[in-house]
Amino acid sequence: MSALPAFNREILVIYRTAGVGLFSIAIAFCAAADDLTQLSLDQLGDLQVTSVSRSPEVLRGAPAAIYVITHEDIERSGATTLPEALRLAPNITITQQDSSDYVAAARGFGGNTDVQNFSNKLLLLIDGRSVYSPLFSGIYLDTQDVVLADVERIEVISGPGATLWGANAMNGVINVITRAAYLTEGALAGATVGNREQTVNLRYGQKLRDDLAFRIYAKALQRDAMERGGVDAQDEWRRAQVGFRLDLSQAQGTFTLQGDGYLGDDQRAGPGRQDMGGANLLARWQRQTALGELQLQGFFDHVHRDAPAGGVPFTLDTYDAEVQQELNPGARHRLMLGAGLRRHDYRISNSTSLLFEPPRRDLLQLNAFAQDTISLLDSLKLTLGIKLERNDYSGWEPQPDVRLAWQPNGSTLLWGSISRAVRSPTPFDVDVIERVGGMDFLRGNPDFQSEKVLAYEVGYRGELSPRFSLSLSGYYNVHEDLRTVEFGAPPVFLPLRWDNLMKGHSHGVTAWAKWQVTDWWRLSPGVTLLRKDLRFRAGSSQVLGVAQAGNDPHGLGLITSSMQFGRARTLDITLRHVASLPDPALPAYTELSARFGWKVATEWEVALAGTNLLHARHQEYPQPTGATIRRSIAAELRWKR
Amino acid sequence: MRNDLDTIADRHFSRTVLAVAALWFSVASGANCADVYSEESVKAAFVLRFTSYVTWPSTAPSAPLKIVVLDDEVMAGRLQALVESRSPARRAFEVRSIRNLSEARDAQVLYIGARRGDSVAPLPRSVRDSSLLTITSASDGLDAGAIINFRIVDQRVRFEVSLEAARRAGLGIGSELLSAAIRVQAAQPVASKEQP
Repeated sequence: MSALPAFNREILVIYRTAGVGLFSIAIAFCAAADDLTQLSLDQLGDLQVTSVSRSPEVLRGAPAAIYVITHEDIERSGATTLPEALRLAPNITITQQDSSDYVAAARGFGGNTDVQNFSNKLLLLIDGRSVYSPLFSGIYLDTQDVVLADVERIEVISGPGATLWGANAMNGVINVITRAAYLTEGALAGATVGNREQTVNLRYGQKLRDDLAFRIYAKALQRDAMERGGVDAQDEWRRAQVGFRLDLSQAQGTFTLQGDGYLGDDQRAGPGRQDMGGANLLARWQRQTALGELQLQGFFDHVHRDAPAGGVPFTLDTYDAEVQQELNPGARHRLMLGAGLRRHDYRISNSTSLLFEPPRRDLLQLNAFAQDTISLLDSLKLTLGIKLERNDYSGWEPQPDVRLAWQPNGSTLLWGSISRAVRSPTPFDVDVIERVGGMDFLRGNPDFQSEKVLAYEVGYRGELSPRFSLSLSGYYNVHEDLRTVEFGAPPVFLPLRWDNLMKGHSHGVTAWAKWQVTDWWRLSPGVTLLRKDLRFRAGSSQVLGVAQAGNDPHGLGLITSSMQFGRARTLDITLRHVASLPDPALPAYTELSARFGWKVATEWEVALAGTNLLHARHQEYPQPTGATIRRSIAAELRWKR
Repeated sequence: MRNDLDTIADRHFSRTVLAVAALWFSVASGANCADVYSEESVKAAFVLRFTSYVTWPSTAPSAPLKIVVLDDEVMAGRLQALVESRSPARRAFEVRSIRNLSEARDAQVLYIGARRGDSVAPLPRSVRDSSLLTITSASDGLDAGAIINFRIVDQRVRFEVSLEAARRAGLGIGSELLSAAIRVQAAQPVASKEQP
């Protein structure tokens, strides 16, 4: 508990350092630049630029708390999996629970695994394919991966993103965008060999015609088991994935076809392996019409997942089709209209202790949205949006959104928003039955309602100098109908049931900066603080405390130092601090990751990377749910031509 | 216990908010310092340099070359600064910031900032068919119909060229420009006679 004040002191130090540093920028780096107009095309192309001046967030002008993890950030981080790469964003909490299990949460509500509440208010999109599981509304991060070298960027949006991104985007959206195939021409072979894990990445891309390119790839990972209570946690993780992407880009429009297939297993404590696998195929067509841009997208996604004894294996097929049309009815309006339908077809193999009734369902989700961005003035834009979404449990849910963005100049954005978002009911809320000793212990609730949030947000994003950009955002959320576990009817009080008897508010701030201290050194500090004030509604039996809604840290802080030595060598160090968890309690922790990369020849790069370097062992979630994570060190070798 | 914690947290919370505000003011007062090699300065220099290797079907060499910038105040500012710093003896440029594509009609160069994401909406036919050197900074700039598109590769500003788009616009592109590009999208065969 003493960790919280300590954490705040650290933040103050960071701020103070940044403040002092700014004056140094003003003094040291405001000298006039050389006359760039004298340079040739080749000379200009050789200049190293500080992309901080136009950090992608500033470029976007999007009135939302959006952090962009760039291709370069990922490449230099030493991350080998998607969740490790997501740790680079200061507006999201990533908690590693065991070798393969990572939990992602934005603005709290990261679940409380011990009382069967899972992080379920976040949306993950991989190239436009929504991958949260409709069974419980959470994300199986161990089934989702990409070749990180082919990722263009990852956008991490905290706050409701329902209008454009859709269901489940209640507290945030993670948008993983891979490079178009014509940008990944040539061969790439990479391997990491470490004390805890080994990975292999292979990719080959080729241009078939001027307007047609493809790539194929394969990725494999093996990670050693962790520990639990000092003994082997038996959670060794193996995973392999193959995939392709094809891009046709003609003058009239573009067409993308991409797909993946993967297999993995995660040996849990107890008998047997937890096998999982899946395959997906996505097609997207964009075309410029007389009215504006038209986009059609469809995907199919199959997942199967076994479970250790007592769990429920399942298969899930998702069919999705979406259409989006841009309209420009007047110079001051930009209208986006869209509609989509998604069918989830799942089959669960009930066990004796965990059942879904019915075990099979076809869920149909429909949505329609409209969003108008109105230029009130040249510098003032008002965005009005609404998404109507229908699910089989709670029917139509309106999710309106109002945003105001003021851009007094090209380098400053001030924004505010009010939006309503929901986390709609899932089979886990409605159909679930848990049995203990043959007796029903917990049952889903057929009257379960959507969990709702009304979010008020304000933010600032600005390029304060060519070398310093800053983003600040704050939010105040009003929560209604949060899920609780309640006693059944007396005198037995069993089975317990889910209900919606918690409400309250939460608020928080997130700030980050990108500071190009010198041409070769960049510092990227970031911090998130959050508070939740939740209470039970009348009628709640308060079986568990309010922490059932999420065992969230009060904050996290990150600072990344990125150094470039000449053209060939880079050193990246990230220090992260995560505040303590309340219930079940876990002290705060601080960890460090570092990577030294060296391009030894045009085609070869070697690197040494370490994660969780400060401690031989640390815990990100309390035992026994959380395994003990050990320090890991790995050597990387990459060949690219 | 819990109340104590909340009090501590509250105090530190407000102190942090103050610290953030203090930082904001200190930063804001130190803003607007001169150009270093920011992305836009280099891009702006590229834009001016490109004009030496492009031939327009009908412009008097003595007339000032009009550059319009859509949706990117920073780029417009950098271009303006570069143009003003040039010696008056060199070719004259006029830089203008615009809010709507229709305002690009009488210009020779159109630079389009990324409006949302690093994706740019496809250019309307009227723009593609006019003799405008269209330049974008987007992952899909050439797909959108631009003639030149900037990309950041290994912390350097590089660019790609579409000869097909240049053909449609009736512009000639010099070989020096093509040889410096990271990618050249060829023109369709019918256009071969117009290639440089």
